[in-house]
Parts: sequence; C-alpha cells; structure tokens
Amino acid sequence: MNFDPIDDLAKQLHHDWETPELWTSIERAAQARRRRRAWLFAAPVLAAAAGLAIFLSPVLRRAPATLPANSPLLTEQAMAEASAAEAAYRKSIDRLAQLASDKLSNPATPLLRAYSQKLTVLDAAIAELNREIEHNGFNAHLHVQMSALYRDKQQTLEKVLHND
Amino acid sequence: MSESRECRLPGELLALPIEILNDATTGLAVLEAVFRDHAPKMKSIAFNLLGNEHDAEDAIQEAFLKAHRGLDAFGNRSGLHTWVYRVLINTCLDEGRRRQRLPVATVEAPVVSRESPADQRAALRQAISQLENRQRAVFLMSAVEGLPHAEIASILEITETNSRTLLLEARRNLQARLRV
Repeated sequence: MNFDPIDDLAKQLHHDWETPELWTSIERAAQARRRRRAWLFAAPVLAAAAGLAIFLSPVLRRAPATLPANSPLLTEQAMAEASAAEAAYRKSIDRLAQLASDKLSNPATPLLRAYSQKLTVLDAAIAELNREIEHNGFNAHLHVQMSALYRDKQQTLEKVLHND
Repeated sequence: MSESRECRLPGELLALPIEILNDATTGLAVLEAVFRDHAPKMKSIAFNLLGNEHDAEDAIQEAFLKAHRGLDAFGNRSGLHTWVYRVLINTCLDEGRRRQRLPVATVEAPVVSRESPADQRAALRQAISQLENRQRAVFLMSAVEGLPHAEIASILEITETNSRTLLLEARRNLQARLRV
C-alpha cells in the first residue's frame, strides 16, 4: 500500500506558535506550589520557624505582657530586630557566594551547572518574596519562608564549595 | 558520586545524578532544559490531540507541573524527556476523555472539500481524532513530529515493533477514512 499522500499531508500538521510566557507561568505555578507545600509540610521550614521563634524570643519577652487581641504578631521593634538579623545573615551568605563565584561562573561539571541554575532560581524566588515583604512586612509567614530560602541557598553554596 | 543513578538529558544537563533531580528547585531547572529542547514538538502534539492552542498550552503546563511533582517517583526507567512526553500524552488523553463525558451540542459534520491543502489538513485532523488512542499518539509522534520508533516505544512503554505496527494500522485506517 502506498501511504505517501498521507505521510506528506501528516508532515503539514506540525503546528508551532509563539509562547514566550509559557515556561514562566509553569515556573511560577511550581514555585507557588512548592511554597505552599513548604509551609504546610516541610520539616526544614518548621525548623526555620523554630529558629526564628528562638531568635525573637528575647524581643517578645520584652514586649508588653498584655497585647490587644488584634495586635500584629510582630511588633515594630521585633520587626526592626528581625530585619537587622536577616540583613546580617544575608551578608554572611553573600560572602559565601563570593567564595563560590569562581566555581559558579565557570562550572566544570554538570553537577556544578545544576547548582548554578538552582542558585539562579533561588535568587529569583528571594527577589519575588522580597517584593511581597515590601507590601506586607508584618507577615511572619513570609519571613519564615525567606529564612527557608536563605537556608537552602546557604546549603547549596556550601555544597558548591565542597564539590571538587 | 560513581554510585549515583544517572539519567539522560538533553543539552548541557547530561548525566545528572538522580539525587539532584529530586531536589525541587534543581528539578525545575532540569525540566526547563527539557522544555527548551522539546516544547515545539510537545506543543504540536498537544495541539493535534486537543484541537486548539489554548488547551494545548494548558496541557503542557499541567504536564510539567505533574512531572515536577513526580520527580521523586521518576525511577530513571527512561530518559527524563520521554517521561515528560508520556505525562503530556496521558494528560491530553485524559482531557479528551473528560470532554467526551461532557454533554455536547449536536453539530452537523462539516462538508470537507478536498481541493485546498487547508481542507485536506482539516480532513486528516478529523480522521486522526477518530483513531484509537495509541494509534493516534503513535501517528502524531511518528508521521507528524518525526520521532524515531525507539523513542516512541520508550514514551508509550511498548516495543519498537508495537510502535511500527500501530503506525501501520493508523495509516491504513486513515487511508480508508480519507480514501486518498
């Protein structure tokens, strides 16, 4: 049997069109799902939350004993201290990133390339979360997520530095 | 490292250890490489299975999100991209089954003129939509997108011989329906 006419016609069915936003929307949806899951289930986030609670405990202890029922979880003073701590933590991670920059700018192995890509995604997630925090700085949940992202970044950078 | 299971990936991300794939953030970067290399064919397959660009894009998004969720379960049985193809085809076929369950308005079958190439393509699309699912998937991947039978076999988890047989049956059925 001669199938040439069908095969010739079939080749014309390939259909292509521009989808410049498609991957971005997939990435956003995946990251949003990941953040939801991290908040609900991930142990590292709970550990970070515990860490944050321990860190904030001196400030909270100094807060008035009776807060109004509708008071935000974090007072202005606690926010200022948390921001200062975050800034110091970021600075230490930036120093770590500086140490790893040589390896990351010229990744010698597929593993290092993967770490480099992961760090790019993490930086994008951190930037996005920073924007959310600018609009809603009193939301402790966002700060917990930020701690988790920085912890992930720190661990990844450590893996890069220990990778030979 | 030498004991790590490895998976085959397109482009620069060859031979990544499976532990890296299982990391959610890195997994996304790895899937992006699959998207970059295979999106045109994946979009076309989804378009030809679902009939419009909007549904095809939705199916692609759903397939990649399912793949991202399922990276832990990805057991390196085949290349990562063939697995994503499989997830996509299953997503499109599920959507097709969902549509069949919806009540649809009765429409008259279009009168197909065979004179213009556009009409011929429309007639072929209609005939393909009436094929059995596996014949349809094999025909679209082989005759339309040019994927080799070895890859199609891996995507559909069948043998290469099965893939060739399904293509032959699809062509015969299409020829009978179109009388070309």
